[in-house]
Amino acid sequence: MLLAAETSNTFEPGWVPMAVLGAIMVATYLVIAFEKFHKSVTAILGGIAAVIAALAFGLFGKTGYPLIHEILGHDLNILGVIIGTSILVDTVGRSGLFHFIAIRVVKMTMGEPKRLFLFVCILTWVFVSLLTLAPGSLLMASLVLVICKTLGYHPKPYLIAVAIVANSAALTTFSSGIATLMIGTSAEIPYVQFFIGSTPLAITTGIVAFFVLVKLYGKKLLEDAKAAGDPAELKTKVAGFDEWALVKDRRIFWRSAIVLVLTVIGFATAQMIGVGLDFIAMAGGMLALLFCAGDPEQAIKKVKWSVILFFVGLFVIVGSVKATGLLEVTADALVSIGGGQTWILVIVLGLFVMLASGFVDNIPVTATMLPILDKIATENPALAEPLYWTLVGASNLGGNGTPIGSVAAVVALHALEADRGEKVGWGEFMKAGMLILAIQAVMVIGYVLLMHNLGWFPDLPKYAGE
Amino acid sequence: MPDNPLNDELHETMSRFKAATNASPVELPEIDKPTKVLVAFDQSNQDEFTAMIGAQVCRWYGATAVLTLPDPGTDIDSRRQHLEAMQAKMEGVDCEIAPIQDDEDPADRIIDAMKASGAEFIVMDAPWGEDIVKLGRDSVGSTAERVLARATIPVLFIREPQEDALALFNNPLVKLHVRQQEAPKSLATAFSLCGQESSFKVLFVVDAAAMAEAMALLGEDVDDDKLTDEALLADAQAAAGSLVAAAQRWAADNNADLSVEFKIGSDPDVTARHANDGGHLLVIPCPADRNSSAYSRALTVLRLSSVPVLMV
Repeated sequence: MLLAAETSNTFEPGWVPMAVLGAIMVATYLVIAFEKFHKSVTAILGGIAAVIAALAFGLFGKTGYPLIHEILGHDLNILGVIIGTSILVDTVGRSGLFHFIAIRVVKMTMGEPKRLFLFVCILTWVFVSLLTLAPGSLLMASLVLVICKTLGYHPKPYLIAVAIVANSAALTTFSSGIATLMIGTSAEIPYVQFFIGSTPLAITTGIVAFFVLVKLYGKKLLEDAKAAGDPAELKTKVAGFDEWALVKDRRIFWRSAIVLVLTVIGFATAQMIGVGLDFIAMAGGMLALLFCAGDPEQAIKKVKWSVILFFVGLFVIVGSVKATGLLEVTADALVSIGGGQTWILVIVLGLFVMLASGFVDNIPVTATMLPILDKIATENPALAEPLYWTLVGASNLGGNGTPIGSVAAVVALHALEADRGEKVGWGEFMKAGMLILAIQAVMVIGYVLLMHNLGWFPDLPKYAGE
Repeated sequence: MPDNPLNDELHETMSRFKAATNASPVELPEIDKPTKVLVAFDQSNQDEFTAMIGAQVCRWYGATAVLTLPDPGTDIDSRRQHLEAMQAKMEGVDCEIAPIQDDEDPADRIIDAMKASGAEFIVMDAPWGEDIVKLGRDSVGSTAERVLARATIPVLFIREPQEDALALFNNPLVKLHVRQQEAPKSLATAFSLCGQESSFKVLFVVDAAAMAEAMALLGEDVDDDKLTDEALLADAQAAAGSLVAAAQRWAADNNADLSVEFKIGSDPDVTARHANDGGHLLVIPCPADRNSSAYSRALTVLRLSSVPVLMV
């Protein structure tokens, strides 16, 4: 077979390579889901196994192993955005800008529990939209723990709110979450178009999550507040918080704000000026290092290199599996399930991605679905918008179902355990998460079908001309 | 706490928020501008430099300079001539010459002159190298140290002539400890002396050895796990909130530049190196308890610094 690959670049993928590479992919995803081994190492090992199998079956044709570099080359911009935004967020974060804003907003609540709950949700939404899921959630989880400790409130409802609202926030912009970044990049959705398509969903699903959480925890919030002491004393305590304690240098503070705003403007105008988001993210990161007294060594250390390795492994696996033709077969199967009905495809895709994202990481699910959707959209351009927007909503919100389904939940629940020694069980989380996810599933599907039928989704340029 | 790479980031972020929630309003004391500044010379080759700095301090404060030269080895007339020469260098400043006595202890005479003149600020020579070359690093017998031990007002020690001395005053470094009683007064004095045109740097040095010593003195168990760099830094950041907020508020109100930095290491070494390398005027609180280890550390900082040091 290897000999065949060397002599000819065309081959008919058979079921054996599909089964073997498919098994490698599923096994890797299961190990990732059950967290039996380090996620990044698992992905890289899965990638190595996939490459060995692909070479053995001659799937890379005449190109051979260098095809892996081509596969990775397509996704370099995702890695560039992750690296650039990590440097930017770390450097700008050290100026105290985000902490300052957070404390100033908390002071506006005057310690009143329901107002605090609302503002925690709003801040989560804003920070995750701007800083991406992991740093935004970490910032909010830390804030909640400190504020609750100071006021004598129980942090659990607030942290669950952070875990859930963050996933709505992650679908706000192209660069708010890694899944949105992958989808936006693959489907070549312009930043502003992405914003127009996804922001209504991000806001409405966030509002619904807030109201469900208030319904579930509202009484407890009030009881906790009552037990915490005299409201007037709490009000005085909150009024005494001093956001200036977090600012190390006011010049750097303002420069950081300017660099952050410039980067957001850069993201919004990247396509117009003919560069990729990775260029903007890198330029933003470097501007921050130059003008915001960034420590290059420190900032580079803060880049999530394990996430980069995770992606490299994942892209190699998906690229290798794609070479077997398995994903094309899956795409055809998905279209045939739809039977020509867009609404059926949207529902099937939405529910599958939501469930899979809840139990596996949403990143591998998204990475696997993208080549499938690309094939469907290339052959049926009319399906491009509904399917991609379904994937945007489902992959981000699917994580709400379980305590391991999203980075935000992992961060918030770990923070609770680390600081208070208190665990949130699957049952307890799913009671809120699954209820919210069920409502959000209806919202995503309803939103996509409504926007599609009304023709309100902007055309995706990549597929519009085909 | 379960071992997880998230823990460090969580700790760090929480400690920053704690700085804001722990902050209790710190009122920086109003510093009355001294009306008289005692400038003490020693006939060393840096007297002219001391005269220049003394004159500048008097101009900033609008104060009268009281000049003294407590040097028992020199006759009174020579001393008077030297002081008159120094007075001539202090152009535009009201000067008076303190009564000159032939005595044996220069430190006593400086303190006497301070009391007699009603001076509220001292500028004096403490030549760089004196301690190390003549007396050894561990010496506590110099005139400067004996003056400091008895002075109840800020003392600005001139260590060695600098190329652009006045630039140092536009670039003050205020070194504080997070739980130091004298810290607000030091900040306020630095603000009062250097004014809003300056670019202030506030340095908190986190010294594990000093922390362990303090804990042992308080009878607390010294847990090495709690004395890691990260833990100490997090604790310092959380505890420094009130001071940082007070400093930043002053800077915001006066449109001044002010940056805050936390450093880990041996307090005297880190502080002196930072001040010498950065070309700062160094401002440090002088603990009221002259028998404390904090006071000894402050003296060591003075010995290791080649830039002017204001001890408050």
